[in-house]
Amino acid sequence: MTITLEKDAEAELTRLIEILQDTQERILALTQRTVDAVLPSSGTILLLPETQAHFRSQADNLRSVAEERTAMLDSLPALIVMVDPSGTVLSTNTAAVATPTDLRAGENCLDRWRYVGLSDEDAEHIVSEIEAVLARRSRHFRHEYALPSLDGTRWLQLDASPLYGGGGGAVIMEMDITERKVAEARQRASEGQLQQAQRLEALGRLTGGVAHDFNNLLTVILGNAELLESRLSANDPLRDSAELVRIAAEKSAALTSRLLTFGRRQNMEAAVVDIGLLLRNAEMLLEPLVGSNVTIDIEIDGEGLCGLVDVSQFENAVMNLCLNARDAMPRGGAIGISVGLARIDDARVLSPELVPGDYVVVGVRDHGTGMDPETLSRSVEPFFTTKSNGSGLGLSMVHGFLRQSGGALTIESTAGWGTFVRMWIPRLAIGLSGNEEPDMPLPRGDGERILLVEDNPLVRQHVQAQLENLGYRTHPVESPSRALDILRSDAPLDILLTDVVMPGEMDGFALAQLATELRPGLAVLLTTGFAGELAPPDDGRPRADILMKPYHRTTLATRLRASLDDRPTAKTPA
Amino acid sequence: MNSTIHFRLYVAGDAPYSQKAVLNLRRYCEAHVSQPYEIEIIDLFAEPGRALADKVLLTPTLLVTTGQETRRIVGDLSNTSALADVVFVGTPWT
Repeated sequence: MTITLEKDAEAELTRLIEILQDTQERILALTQRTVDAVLPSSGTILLLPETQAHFRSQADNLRSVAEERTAMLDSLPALIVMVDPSGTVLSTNTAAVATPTDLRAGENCLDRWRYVGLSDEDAEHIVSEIEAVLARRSRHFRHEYALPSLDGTRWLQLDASPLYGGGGGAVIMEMDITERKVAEARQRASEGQLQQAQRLEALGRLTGGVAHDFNNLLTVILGNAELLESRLSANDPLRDSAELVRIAAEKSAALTSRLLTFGRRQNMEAAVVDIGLLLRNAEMLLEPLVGSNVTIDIEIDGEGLCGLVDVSQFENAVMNLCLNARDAMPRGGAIGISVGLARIDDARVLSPELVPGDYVVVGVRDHGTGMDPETLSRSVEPFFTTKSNGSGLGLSMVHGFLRQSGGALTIESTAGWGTFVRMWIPRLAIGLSGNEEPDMPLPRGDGERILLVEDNPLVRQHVQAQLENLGYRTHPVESPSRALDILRSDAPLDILLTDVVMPGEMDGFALAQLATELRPGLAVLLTTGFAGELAPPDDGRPRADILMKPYHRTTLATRLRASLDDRPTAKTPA
Repeated sequence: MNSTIHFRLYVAGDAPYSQKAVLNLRRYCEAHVSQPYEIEIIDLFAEPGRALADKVLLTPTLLVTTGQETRRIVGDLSNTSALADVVFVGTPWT
């Protein structure tokens, strides 16, 4: 409504306002300017000018504080809700980061946890704790919970504290902590994997060391048993005993060989092979192995699935995995074997042993009994088995074989659901080479002279007997320095047969190099108990032939003959 | 001479002179009043009816009651001698 003032009325209004101002001035003067407000008999409070200015600036301050608080709350990555004592939402902030929580003024906050899809138990826990906060029976409630949602589980942290001022109620804060939870889980998993890898490493060193020493002794046992067997006539009653000793020694050698595989000390006859092709060929062998109520489905994805592996060890590994899968499905089922390429970018997510790079991945999946976490964590340990007649060496060997091949073994398993084992083999982007081994008759010596260097007297004596039995002449010595004395003399020699590891300043490699310098035409054959010694740096030294312990007489005879025949300048025997 | 002194101070919320009056009264009582006393602060905005009943025309206004007698003083109570005159009226100086 607008009023147009008459001229007289305007003059009257001006006069009244003058009086009002004059009245205020006189009140202030009378009270020496120390009063704020006056109260006429109407009861309507009139504020004096200075007081009005005070309240106006106070209101301005409050408004800017309120704006600051709102901006502060809205910048937080959390939903903050103020509720009254009954749990009804009074106000909320606008969270800077969207949370799955959605609460609006007027709603009852407790309903959210009742109907958001939590388990009854979880929902009831949250509701009763928030009620305790609202009733001020609890000073603070913090709870982390998983909320099932369309894009996977979200983890939320809930905080509730009572409001002590005003009308009571509470402040509730909810924050999305999914990222942190995922990172923590990943961290725990990788720490667990690292510990597991370290434990297996230690076990590998232990078993490898024991197996290595044991191999030395087996060399003596096996060799002597063979010697006895060959010397005894066919109808000698002792021949059976000699045969039994040989068979037992061979079985022992097979066992130490498996232990050496786990300890990564097995001699690898690695060749570049197409792993897809290898599996395709192995299919025929695997089917009878797993029995009629288990089917095998091999899926090969892609070409050029090449890796550097020992073929027989690889086949062994696949067979072991298939046997495990079969045993996990006593009522039958299907084993899925897949081969494909995979690239690891983020190191150590799957296994601390996997470095970034391209891998040929062979997966073996079953839908059998699976393993609980405890069993899974120990599954690779040697001699750990859940089978009544298992050796506990299957997965250990697969693990050792893969580590020696520069790859890794990963196992995922859920009890009651099945197991998925993957063999990660570094991919080679090169072509293939053939690998054949001719079957030869036992070659004999023709009086060639052998310088035999072996520090273990038992082994030395045994090998000497073997060599002489094969038709060679020997110079057995116990140390490299004694060997050098003979090499520097004018004693005729055709071949140096030396152990790689010997006490003292010189190993077999160094001795072999000196020997070929002193005697350029000399053949060299090295023997060793484990493959770890087979890695002299590729520094241009002549790479000598190497014979793995324990060896059969046939192998010794064949390798000696081959080394002698391959001499740069073969000499006629003296 | 040991009867309780009742102070009733009328204020206009936290208006500046009202707040000063509250502070000055408390300070004065602590420093100078040895006998028992009570201070009652009444907000004009909250209880205008009481102010009208007490015939309060302005804030801050202090009503001092000793026995049957009530005296009043207006202002921010920064003038302590004026305040003393109201509090200790009729009290013999010793």
